[in-house]
Amino acid sequence: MNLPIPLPDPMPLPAPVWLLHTLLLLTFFLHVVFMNCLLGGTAVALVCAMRRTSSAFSGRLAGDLGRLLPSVFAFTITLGVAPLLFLQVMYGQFLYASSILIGVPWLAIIGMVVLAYYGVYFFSMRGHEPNGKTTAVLALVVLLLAAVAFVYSNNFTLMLAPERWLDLYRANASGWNLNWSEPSLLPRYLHFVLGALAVSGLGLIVMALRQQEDGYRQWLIEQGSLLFTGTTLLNFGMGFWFLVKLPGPVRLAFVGGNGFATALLGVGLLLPLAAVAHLILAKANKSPKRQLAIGISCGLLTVAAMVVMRDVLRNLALAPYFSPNQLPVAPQWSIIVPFVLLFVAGLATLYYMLRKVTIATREQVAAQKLQ
Amino acid sequence: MGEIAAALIYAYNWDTLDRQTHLIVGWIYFVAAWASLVVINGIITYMLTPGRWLETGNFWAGFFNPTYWPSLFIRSAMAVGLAGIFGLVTAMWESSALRERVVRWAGWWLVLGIASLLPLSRWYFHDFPAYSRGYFNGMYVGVHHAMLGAEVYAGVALLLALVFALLRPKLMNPVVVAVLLVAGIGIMGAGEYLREFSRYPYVINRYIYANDIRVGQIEDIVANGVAKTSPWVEGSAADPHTYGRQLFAMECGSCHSVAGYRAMRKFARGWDAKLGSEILLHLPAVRETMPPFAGDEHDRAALGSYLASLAPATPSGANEKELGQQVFAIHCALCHSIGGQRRPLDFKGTDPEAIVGIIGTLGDINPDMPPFTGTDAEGHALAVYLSNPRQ
Repeated sequence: MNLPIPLPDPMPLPAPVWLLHTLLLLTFFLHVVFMNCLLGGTAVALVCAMRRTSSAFSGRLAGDLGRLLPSVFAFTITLGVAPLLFLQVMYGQFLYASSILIGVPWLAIIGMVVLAYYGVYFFSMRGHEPNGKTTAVLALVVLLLAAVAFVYSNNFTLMLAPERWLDLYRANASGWNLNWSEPSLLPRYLHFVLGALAVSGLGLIVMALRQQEDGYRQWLIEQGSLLFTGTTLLNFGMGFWFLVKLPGPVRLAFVGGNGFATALLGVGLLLPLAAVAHLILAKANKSPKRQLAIGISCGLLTVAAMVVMRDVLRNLALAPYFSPNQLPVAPQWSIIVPFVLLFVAGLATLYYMLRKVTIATREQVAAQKLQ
Repeated sequence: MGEIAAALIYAYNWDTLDRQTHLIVGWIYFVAAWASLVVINGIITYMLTPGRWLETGNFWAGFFNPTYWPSLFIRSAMAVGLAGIFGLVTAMWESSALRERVVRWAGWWLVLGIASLLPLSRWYFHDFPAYSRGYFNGMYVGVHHAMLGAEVYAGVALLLALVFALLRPKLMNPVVVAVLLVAGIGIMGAGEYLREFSRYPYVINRYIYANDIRVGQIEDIVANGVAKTSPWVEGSAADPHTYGRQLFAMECGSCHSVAGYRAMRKFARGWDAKLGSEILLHLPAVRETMPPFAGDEHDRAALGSYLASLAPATPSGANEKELGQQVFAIHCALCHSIGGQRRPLDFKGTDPEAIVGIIGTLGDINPDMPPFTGTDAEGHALAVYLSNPRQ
């Protein structure tokens, strides 16, 4: 036995690999969008809270974000469960080994997230008018979430490097480890964090489109576009650094070695450019809604492309050791079909609930205005 | 997802929703929450009683396993009981005439929920795996305390609810509510403890042991040794102490620590390497809650020697009988008691020299017994003690 890769679960997969794979990427995409809004949103709220005395709109945005962030946090966490489970079904032997090796920081995530959650609620409830104390708490929240993201980057790179596991185990069998020897760790982490800021820029534009007041709406669109454009342009450089630091065969795949990977990279470079272009076009336009909508869509499609690219990277890195296609499959359609039906029904119920509540509150507000 | 959305809607719109929407959201919340229980319950109960799944691998056989239905009902009853208690907590914040109504209403939830636990737990317990029903015969202190605790807490909760919620709701006050809160959570905690304990030595009954070794793997590891079957140990290259420590981490570490929780330092006090190695050969006989040790003689020797190094102690005593008592504690008490319930020994009145003879030939009496590994003097002291164990 050369590498300490645990045996995969002897039970056959309960659904075809393509279906599990699709569900993994779909649920992960949803999780990532909310996670980006959380990580980026808390950072934006912090900057706004710090600028509150010099800019009235900044103070207002900090308050608005404070009201939204607890919900964003809740959805980030809940949406994270499904991709984790699909990941475990297909790559469990890699994920669990790496998680145990970095067990202490990995489990510390729980404490860090709980603290961050409290901090977000604290800011939310006191944040209509942010002050020094609430700003300091928010700064702590941003630090905690950034640390959580760093631990995640460590785990998801370590799971791809079984050749490093025994050394880490010998260095510390009690879980006090991180994946420092990974060359792509830092660029990967920074690339994803910048991406989170970019997506929250899009989030600001979405917030803007629901605003009635012209001045605030315009300002939000401006700030959101600036944030998205600035971080995205920086991210081209960060992405290049990430690419360069990938292990040789994986890097080669993305620059011509593998057709699909290379095409993905091309798409992943063009889409953000298209997004930026439309945001710039929107500035010049009298009724920019269409350009903004296209810009946001291109931005979200970029995230989707990145999610797929990240998955391709994972499979390329693991190729010498394993592929989920090697696993035996014994589809149990009697459970897959109810699952899909319940999933759709669940989403429909969510939509129904949110619509009912939106209509009800709109009616309430209207009724109050009449009085 | 549905639950979270409903909760958030309530948190932000409690005061602004119209009555109809309010109730719809509430019902959706309830259905989503109970549906979560329906699903999770399948997973948890499958681990204790996989049922026909072990033979067929069929999802539905594993999901709707022998303890699925009793567990669903008992957990729902517990939820109803806890809901009543939480209702009382909220009622404490209400000062109007509504308070008395709420207290009575919540009281009924509490009583119905907790009172049903008794018949439901009988039903649940009836379908437990046969081996784990044996854990409830009084041998395990933790189990005994948990059962007693559950009964006392349930009794206290029902009595307090009867008096302060149903008969004299005006008298309900935060102190009583605090006691009820502790009692309710105590019942649930006791129940969960008993369920978890009943799983030993498995994590999935008859499929995977608590240390993650599969039942089907044991034969292979016993035949070939751990070093050949796992890349995470150093193997023959390492010194025996390191190898023993790694074996401990791998096969014992999920449940035992060296000096903290379920400390082996306490259990292995006074062991010599040979005794350690022999005990490892008979783990399930020593204690039914233990999985068998997966390893060959080399592994047993290494781990036995490591365990003996944790808390070496030479038995001693003011007189021979005291010495014998200590020898008994180290060499025999893991499996035997004097009188009592654990393979009770009764040599009272027997001639010590005859007992010495028995001590020398333990393997002939029962092939499951490890040979006595103490000195001749210790053996004689043990015999003296056994012939007259009372103080």
